[in-house]
Amino acid sequence: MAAQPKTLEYEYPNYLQDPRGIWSWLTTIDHKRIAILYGVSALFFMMVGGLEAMLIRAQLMVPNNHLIGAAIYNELFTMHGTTMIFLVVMPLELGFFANFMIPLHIGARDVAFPRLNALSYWVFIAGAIFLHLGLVRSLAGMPDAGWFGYANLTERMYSPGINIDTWVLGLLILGVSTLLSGLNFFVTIVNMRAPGMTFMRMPMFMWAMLVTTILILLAFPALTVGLVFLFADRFLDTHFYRVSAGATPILWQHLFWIFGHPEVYIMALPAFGIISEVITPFSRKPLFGYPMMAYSLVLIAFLSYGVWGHHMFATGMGPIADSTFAITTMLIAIPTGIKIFSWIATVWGGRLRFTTAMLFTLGFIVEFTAGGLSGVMHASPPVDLQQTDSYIVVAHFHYVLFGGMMMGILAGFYYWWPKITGRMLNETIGKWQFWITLWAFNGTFFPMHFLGVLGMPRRIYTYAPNMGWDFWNYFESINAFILGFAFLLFFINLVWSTLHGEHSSADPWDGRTLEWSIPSPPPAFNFVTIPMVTARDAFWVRKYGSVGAHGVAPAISGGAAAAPVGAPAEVHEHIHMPAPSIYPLIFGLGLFMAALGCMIWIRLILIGGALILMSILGMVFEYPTFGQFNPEALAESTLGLDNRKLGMWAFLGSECVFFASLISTYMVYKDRNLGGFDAMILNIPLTSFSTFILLTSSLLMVLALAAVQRDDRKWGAIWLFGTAFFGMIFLGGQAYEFTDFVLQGLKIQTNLFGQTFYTLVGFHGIHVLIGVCWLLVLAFTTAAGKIGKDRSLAVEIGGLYWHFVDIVWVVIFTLIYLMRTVKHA
Amino acid sequence: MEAYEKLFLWFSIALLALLLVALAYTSFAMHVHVPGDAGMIMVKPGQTLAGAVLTTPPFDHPGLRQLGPGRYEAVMFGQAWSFYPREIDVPAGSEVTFRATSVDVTHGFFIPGTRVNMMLIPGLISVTSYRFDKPGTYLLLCHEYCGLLHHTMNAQVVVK
Repeated sequence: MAAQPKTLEYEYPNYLQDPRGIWSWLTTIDHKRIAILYGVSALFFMMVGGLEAMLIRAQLMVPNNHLIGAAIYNELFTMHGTTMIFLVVMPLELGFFANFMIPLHIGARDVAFPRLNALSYWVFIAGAIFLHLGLVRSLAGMPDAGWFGYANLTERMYSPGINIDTWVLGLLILGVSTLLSGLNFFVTIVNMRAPGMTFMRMPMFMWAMLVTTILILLAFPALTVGLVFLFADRFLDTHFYRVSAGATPILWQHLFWIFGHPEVYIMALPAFGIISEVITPFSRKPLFGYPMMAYSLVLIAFLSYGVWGHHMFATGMGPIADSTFAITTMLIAIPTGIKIFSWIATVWGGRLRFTTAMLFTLGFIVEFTAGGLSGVMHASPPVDLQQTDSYIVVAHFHYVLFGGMMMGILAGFYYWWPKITGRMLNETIGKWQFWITLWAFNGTFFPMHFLGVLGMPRRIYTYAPNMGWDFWNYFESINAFILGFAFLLFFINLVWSTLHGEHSSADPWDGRTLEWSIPSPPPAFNFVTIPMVTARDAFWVRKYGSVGAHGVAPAISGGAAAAPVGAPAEVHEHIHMPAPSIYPLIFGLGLFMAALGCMIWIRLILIGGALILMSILGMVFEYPTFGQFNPEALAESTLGLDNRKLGMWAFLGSECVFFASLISTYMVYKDRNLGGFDAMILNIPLTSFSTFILLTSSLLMVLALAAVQRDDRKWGAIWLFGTAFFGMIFLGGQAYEFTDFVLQGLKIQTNLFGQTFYTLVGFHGIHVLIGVCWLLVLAFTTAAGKIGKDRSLAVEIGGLYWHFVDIVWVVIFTLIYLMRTVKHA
Repeated sequence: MEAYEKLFLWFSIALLALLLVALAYTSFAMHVHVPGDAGMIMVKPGQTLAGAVLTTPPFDHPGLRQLGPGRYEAVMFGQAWSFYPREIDVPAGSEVTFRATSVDVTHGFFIPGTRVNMMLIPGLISVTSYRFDKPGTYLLLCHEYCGLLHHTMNAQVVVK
């Protein structure tokens, strides 16, 4: 039994060894290699963001300091926030840990859409570089309106430079990347679990990631819509956030925080998950209150959509809104409290091992609780009204984000590094790092509570000496540099240990979850045979039997020696892994060029668009299995549902939020119109006709799918062409409608009605256009005899999208056309 | 149920009840309210926001006004990067109602050591009031980031 892992380790090359060379990394679609790419990039940005933080602290060290200019200072705090959130914490948690661990935890060979995974990474890099375009001398000017970019400071009128342009476009690109990752991981966790891995047997990290991905799918569209409006204001001269046209900048705050508060949990929940994984092996106990831990994650996610208003108490929303948001915010403390108590109960009575990973975990529990408590404090409007935008807030969210998320990430590094690289991180350096971090973190951020009470506002470049703020600022700055030193130790440890560290066995910590059952580092295909899961803590049960899983742990150490790995029952056949692809990289490049084109040279958009189109078509036809049912994969899937179909459903869920944001903006703004054109201009008879055509096309789509499913290629093609044709008639009607309006004088810049109407109906039109192109590709492929019964899935997924677009039109037609009311502000 | 558990439950319930009573008392007996909707600045077509603010009463006459014995109204607006008026003088013990808005971007309106803390949102009027009992010079700061010289944006309330 014990000999088996050894032979496995030598039988297959690990994922880092084969294939070699730069090209293999550029085209890789292995989730583990993509995780490494994410990790390296995010660690680089962690250094950048950390240096930015230390420059901020150097500037604030003494009063009336002019170490750096005020303009640079504003760029620094903007980029520190943006970098740490979008380029460090999220890529490390989602791109690095989740990417690497999801397939290992659920017993899969890769994520659901490996090429999409690579695409997410290259789009992420494109966005990250885009955010830093301002460093180029001739463009000059980094984003400088804060990470929250409150309108209307971000308008062209108040921020004329390119600073905000790079910020808007960079965040839009990063949003695409995050959304696609979220979708990918959601489908993976839901549908690719090993046999026997029920929801209630998943490792808690998987629960955390499942809930996080749902949050991503439903929260990011709100940010996208807010950014699209800002983009339109800056580039098309619309008035989404301009008071002089009757709009209100508060719209941005609502859209931003509807995204922004779930975003806090998008960062927090993965860290909760990591902590739950690390705490169990080092306490030698199963996780306390597993079901409640899982349910409270779901509850946190649910509540997180109803609390955005607590960022806006100072805007004067009135007592009713204030109390509602106060109550929902306080309610979040309940599930969070359940989690904290369960972690403590897990440690309670355990046989503790204070490794560095465990120290960071305990640090997390203490510091995060402190941050959480000051959060409950802010939930009360009267208290918040004295604290808004003072340094207390800075103290609060650094306790949550650093004391919580960053400690969780560091725990994850020390815990999983052996699995990822095959080498242990140095524990001596690690413990030094932990204690210095703990001291310097509290030294940096705790006094911010005092400064807040003393009235120091946020985001000020410098301050006068007689305010009583001098000592604590000096003290904080010194500690910030010590904190920087602790991170230097961390980076040294990473590099040194990866090159010279002690070799790790497959199971160095006597772990409980499946990733420890395979060699470190794992082979490219992860599992020789897909494991059968019979219980929670699957690997532990396999090692010690079910008594060990639920009772007190048996007092054996060195589980690695006793660990039977995978217990492959039969000799494996050739494991087929998907081939590498260069198209994801090309897609990222195309998106980058298109975005750059918006700013400097409009024709670049065409080149970028062509690259994007080429990469999409390339990816579609690269596989011989395009649109094919794979009975084997279907049988192995958890739900008995094809991944691609589930992915489409998840995407449509996300689209609902996108259109809901657009529709609600229209509903709010139509009554604030300052005169001129309004909804009376709408041509109801014409639109009723095109609506009828669009709805009929759904019927043709049904017929097309039925034809393809009974392998009738001729009628399949005919109905598909018919659907596309009807879609084109609808588009033609819309083109006529828009042209007519423009000729009458209603442009997108004209007034609030014009801009909200054109964006809402226009975005729907773009969806129809994409649908028509998609249908035409399907129709021609079917006409060529390529799509029959075996590939009917391609038509089915296209159909799902098409029906969704039609349903959205029914809503838009009813609300905007049929129920038009006109009221002038 | 264990005795400690019961004790803790009762303790929590009592705490909750106490908080509700305190809330009702401050709200009804002490008249402490959260700031609410206090009106909008209507911009006519072709007008700039600044133009609209300066023609909307009471912002056409910004400054301090006595409403009654010990009661004042301070009509102010924020602009990048200063407040107008820059100084307000009131006798100690007077209740000042601040009525403020912004003529350009979103600003803050924050007097450290008091509970005066509002956002000045372009197009909206923010109102809050506070009784200044202790004489001294109170700093009025903008605490909502508003651009390059945000850190220099301040005014004073002098209580004599």
